[in-house]
Amino acid sequence: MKNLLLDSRLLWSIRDVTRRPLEWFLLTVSLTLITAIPATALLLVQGLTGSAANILADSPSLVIRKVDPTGWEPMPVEQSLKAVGSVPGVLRAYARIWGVVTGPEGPLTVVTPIATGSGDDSKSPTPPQSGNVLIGAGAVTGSADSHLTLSGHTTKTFKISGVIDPKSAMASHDLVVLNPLDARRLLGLPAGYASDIAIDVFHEGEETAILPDLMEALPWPVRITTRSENLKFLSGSYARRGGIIILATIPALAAICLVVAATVREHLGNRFEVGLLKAFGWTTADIVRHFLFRSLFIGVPAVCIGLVIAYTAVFSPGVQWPGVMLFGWQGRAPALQLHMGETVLTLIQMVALTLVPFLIATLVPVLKVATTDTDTCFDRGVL
Amino acid sequence: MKRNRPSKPPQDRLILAAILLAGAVLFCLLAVSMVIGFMGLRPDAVAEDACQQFVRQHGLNTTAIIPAGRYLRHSDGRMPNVDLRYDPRLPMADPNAGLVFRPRPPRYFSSTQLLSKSQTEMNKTQ
Repeated sequence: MKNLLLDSRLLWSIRDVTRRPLEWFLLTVSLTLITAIPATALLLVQGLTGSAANILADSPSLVIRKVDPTGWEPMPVEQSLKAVGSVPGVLRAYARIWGVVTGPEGPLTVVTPIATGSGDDSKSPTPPQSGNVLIGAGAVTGSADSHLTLSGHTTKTFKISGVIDPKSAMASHDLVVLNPLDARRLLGLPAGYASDIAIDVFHEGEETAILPDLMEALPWPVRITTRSENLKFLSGSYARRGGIIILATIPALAAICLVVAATVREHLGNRFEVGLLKAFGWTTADIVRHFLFRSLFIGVPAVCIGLVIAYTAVFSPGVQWPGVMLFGWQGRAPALQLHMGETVLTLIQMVALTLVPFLIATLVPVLKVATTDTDTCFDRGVL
Repeated sequence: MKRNRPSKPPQDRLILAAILLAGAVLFCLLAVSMVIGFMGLRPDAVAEDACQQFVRQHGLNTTAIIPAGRYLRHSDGRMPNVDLRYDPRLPMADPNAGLVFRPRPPRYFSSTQLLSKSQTEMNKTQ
């Protein structure tokens, strides 16, 4: 490293770069943008999909909803649990009460803590008292009023008894936790009915295996969603949204083509400079090394800046721009803390996609010129 | 064989080049170590644990990254006018679900309005 830093030929190459500061600046900006934009899109889709998969790892294996030709229908809890409980492979079945209601600043999702029905309620949190409500960070109105008015089947005002831990914002941002009795009233569910039934199975493979049995066990038409279907749907929707950013990379790809073309042209026009260096006694290897150092000095920091920008934009704690720009949140987007596993491969891919073409575009013409005769360089050189 | 070229190029502005090189190397090393260090700290793990716990306690099957009420929020949130008794990968428009778009009010069709008026008058005359 010491020898490399003290190698005067390396310093000479850098000095050569500083002779043309405008070219240096423009190339750096181009390479930075070309790296940052696609890297942001790729990292964002990867982060969103990874987060969804991790967060929903413990979500119900199957969700069963009763349907009729017009849409969803409430499910009778006792009858449904009895029917699905008789299906072999069902580990745990419980009713879920949830729905979308209108809050003071937009739609909110009402949920209730689950009750397993099998007596194992040790892990379930205590539901808020009747008339009280626990709200997510996105449902906080900002006013000093500690009451929240929700409009669903009926309109009711609740006392805010607490705010859900903001660390769980990716799951609870616009959620409102209610007492089951209040939730039923608000959503218009009759007593003894629930929005749907959730089921846990022992192994992922059983999710699809027991579907026919479940459909047969229930005396009405149902729509069953498996966890893997759910994750595929979510990752698909994230990828579509990320595709919007990737569309923005089309000009970036055009830009890299222009940069490469300009670099090739510039180095083909360097015949005179190469001839001069050869006349001074530089070998072909010296000349190639000189141009390689020049390109690396411009390219490596530019790509690093691009990757740092992309990484910071996607993974810095509490980023909100993806919610606002891609998912339509208005003013109160959730603070995301995306999953950052397996990002090294994406970063390496981005380096390969940007730096390698740039280096090739630099070295191929230089190799061609450096191996020609010195006289030829001067003959065809631009004086 | 003795090399006939000078052992060192001229030293003009090479100090500046050395500073720039050191700066660039330092920046790249810092950037790489920042990314690796950040990944090693895994600040996302705390948030994911909290989210997982909340999901478990409330039996959720979706995240709150997409706003409530949006079609994309729920994977099972298909269009209500599609008959869900059939596989959603082969959706069928349900004939009983009514029209997707409500018919326009008659005021936009003056000719229709005139026609209906004339028919009413004819009926009255008859």
